[in-house]
Amino acid sequence: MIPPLEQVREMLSAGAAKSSLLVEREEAVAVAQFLKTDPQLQLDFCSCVTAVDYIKQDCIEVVYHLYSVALKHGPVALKVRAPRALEQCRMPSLTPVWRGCEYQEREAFDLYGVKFDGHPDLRRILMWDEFVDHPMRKDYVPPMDYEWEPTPHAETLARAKQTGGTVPASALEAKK
Amino acid sequence: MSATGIIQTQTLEVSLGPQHPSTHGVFRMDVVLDGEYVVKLKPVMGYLHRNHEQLAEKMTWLGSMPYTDRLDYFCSMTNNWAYALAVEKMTGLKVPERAEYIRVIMAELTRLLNHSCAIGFLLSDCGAWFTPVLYALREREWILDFFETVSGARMMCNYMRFGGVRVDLDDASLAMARNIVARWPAFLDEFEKLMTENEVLLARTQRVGILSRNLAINASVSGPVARASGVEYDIRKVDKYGVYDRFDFGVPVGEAGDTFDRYMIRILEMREAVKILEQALRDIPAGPFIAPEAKLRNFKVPAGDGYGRIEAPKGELGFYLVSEGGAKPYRYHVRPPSFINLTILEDMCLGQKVADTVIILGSVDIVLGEVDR
Amino acid sequence: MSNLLGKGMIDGLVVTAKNFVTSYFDGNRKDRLFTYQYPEERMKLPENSRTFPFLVYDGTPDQMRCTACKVCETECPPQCIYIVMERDANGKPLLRPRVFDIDISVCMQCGICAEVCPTNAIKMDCDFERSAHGRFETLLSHLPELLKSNDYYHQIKSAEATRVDATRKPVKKAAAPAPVKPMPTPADILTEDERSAWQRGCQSEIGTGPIVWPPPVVVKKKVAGTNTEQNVSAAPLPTGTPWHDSGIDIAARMELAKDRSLADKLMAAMAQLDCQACGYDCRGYADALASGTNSDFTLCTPGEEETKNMLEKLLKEAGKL
Repeated sequence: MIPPLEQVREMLSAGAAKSSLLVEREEAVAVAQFLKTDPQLQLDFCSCVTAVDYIKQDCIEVVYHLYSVALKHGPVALKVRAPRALEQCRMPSLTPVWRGCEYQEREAFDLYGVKFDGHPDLRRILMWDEFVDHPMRKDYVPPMDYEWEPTPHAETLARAKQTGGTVPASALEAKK
Repeated sequence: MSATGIIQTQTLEVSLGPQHPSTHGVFRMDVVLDGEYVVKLKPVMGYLHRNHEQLAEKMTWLGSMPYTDRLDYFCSMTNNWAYALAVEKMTGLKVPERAEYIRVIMAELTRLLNHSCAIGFLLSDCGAWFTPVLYALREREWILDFFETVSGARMMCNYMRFGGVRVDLDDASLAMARNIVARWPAFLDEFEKLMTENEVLLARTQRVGILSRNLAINASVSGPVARASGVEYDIRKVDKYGVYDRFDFGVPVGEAGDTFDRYMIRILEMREAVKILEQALRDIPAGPFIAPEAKLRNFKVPAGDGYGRIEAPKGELGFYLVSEGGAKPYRYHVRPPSFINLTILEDMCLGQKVADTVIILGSVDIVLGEVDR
Repeated sequence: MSNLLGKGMIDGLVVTAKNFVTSYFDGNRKDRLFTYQYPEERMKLPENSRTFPFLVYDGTPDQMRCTACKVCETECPPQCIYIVMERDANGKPLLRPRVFDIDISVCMQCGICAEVCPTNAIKMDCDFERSAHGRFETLLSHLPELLKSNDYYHQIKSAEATRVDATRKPVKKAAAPAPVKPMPTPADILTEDERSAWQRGCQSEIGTGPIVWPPPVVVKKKVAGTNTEQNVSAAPLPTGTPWHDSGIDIAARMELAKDRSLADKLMAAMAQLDCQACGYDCRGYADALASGTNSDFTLCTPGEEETKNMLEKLLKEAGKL
């Protein structure tokens, strides 16, 4: 049972519209719709979408920074949290509310592995499609040397083996 | 053509880029064409991705400053300012007045050079092959010389510091800046005479790539692209960061939201930037150029998060930072205007001819260093 | 828009024609031409322009300003600086670098090293002709080629160098300067292990093992009949900071400060350089640690591990950690 959304407005106006709002995943879309359409808030401009990996609290937080072009106020930071485990790390997409979230949510999916339900086109955007991991997570271990090529700098390979980093198999083949 | 109902052709999938001069870098558009007309367009990016944000999380707060230069490599000064502003917001550092004026001067000069080159390259895309760009580059050279005199580098300036700027402007460099500002209106007049009324340009750009006002707001489009669509939103006016509330300047707004408006809005913004520069160079006070309590070594930011944004030449450039109180940021996110302005590229290109996609992309004015980070 | 179709184009062509003609007359020439006939003709670089860093020395190359405090190594954003402090046969730090390498293929010319340097030892050069034939070894600058005289600094950046000379306080050098000898080549001074240690990214250096340095002067004796220890040595004074000399090694410094307050002991554990790498001088940092205004004991970079460990131990004993 969610409290009436008008309370959100009161909470925000108490903080002079410069506050952050932590929302449960299930209510995110309803709250977002309210923030956008409420005549006193009119937060029609979703400026910045990003994710933060709080590894100690075991959650990934997606932050939406909202401004109002009509009333020229803001920002309101709308925060939604999801557990870190990859299969549970999902939340409703706000792209249907603010179109500007489209690429930024794709970026959050790409770099953090947050799955946005209802996103029209959730693909990787910065990394290539075959990439498997999510590189901005705090526990991500980068492979040793992506762009390895056979050069006199031969320690690279030995180094990679020593430290347990992976060298692309193609590079190993080239070495042979 | 299907319009006549006689000849039905199959659609054709074309990959525009990544190695294509009109994409302004390594950027690809997967275009589906029906004859000459675009029916689907998907931008593909990431060729320059270097995970700037993760690099910054492994570096001291100051250490990220030279890396911000490399985001939008045309406008290193404004990138520096946005980052410094976000950190100053979190630390509560007060910037001395002279430093604020210097920042305004640098940012507006950056706007001049970015806009002149942006429209120069847009005209190149239209087929005015390199003549207008050379006029723009010629004038840009004055600004780059000025930046080199002050900061030591032409493009990778690394000039702003938390709480001020790195080097003071002496009288000689101020005179240099005044000289640039004095000659700029003459350049704009010449440039407009060269291009603005050119019939070919009008035919190629008017009513091409129209972006409606509502879509521009909803899709978070910012900067000159949004203002060309009639969104009267300028962060210099709204947030009044720095000392922008002291200057008298207007915010030009377009009507049609087509490519010609995006061309024209940049010319008009340059004229406004000249006005700001004249006032700033007239009023610049004496005093310290960096806050005395600002530290270089062992700089720490109190725990918390903060979002700082400025009106960069390409749009709203924001930095979202999370600190744990340590010497390194816990999270460092860049809100790049070029990247988000690309959201509506498909909407603008649908139904246009394939040659127009190149112009529309040019009018959005992207820099791939910032799109891919 | 003009009424006559084609007028806009003709106007544009007039502009280009005008520019074409006037570019042949000298009056406008310098305004319009930015190209130089390099290498015959060289443009004068502004004084602030920066390329790669170099190290300044006063007088002879032995009198280098660098104290190997590693502030630049810590702050360098792309991590292209590698420093090993020189130590004498007993392992005592001599406060100057034995190895100072800058990988200029990684250096991005940001100038942060020059900004943060507490001793004005590292400055940005104006020399941009640094092409080389290899990608790896030839682009690694070693100490001998990095060292350049203060006169050279004055030559390329006169105003800045004069300003620096005016503000520089005389820096006390460690031991008596060694007789001038030819600079060792990098191959002589860096073992294979060290080189590979750097390439692995871990910074270990030789000489940090157990240091055998007999504590001088101070001898402790139990005075019969009392429970108090008493210094029988004449050297340490009851007041002042006799340990504030970077020539003494840490064990001896701790001996000198043995019966002093916590702040004094902490100060004795510092590297005694007053390099301000921590943001204070040695006295100030010790006071800040003792009073608890700063709880980070890892800031003394020139003191390396031994200072860090000693500070941790002292703070733990005092119950501050």
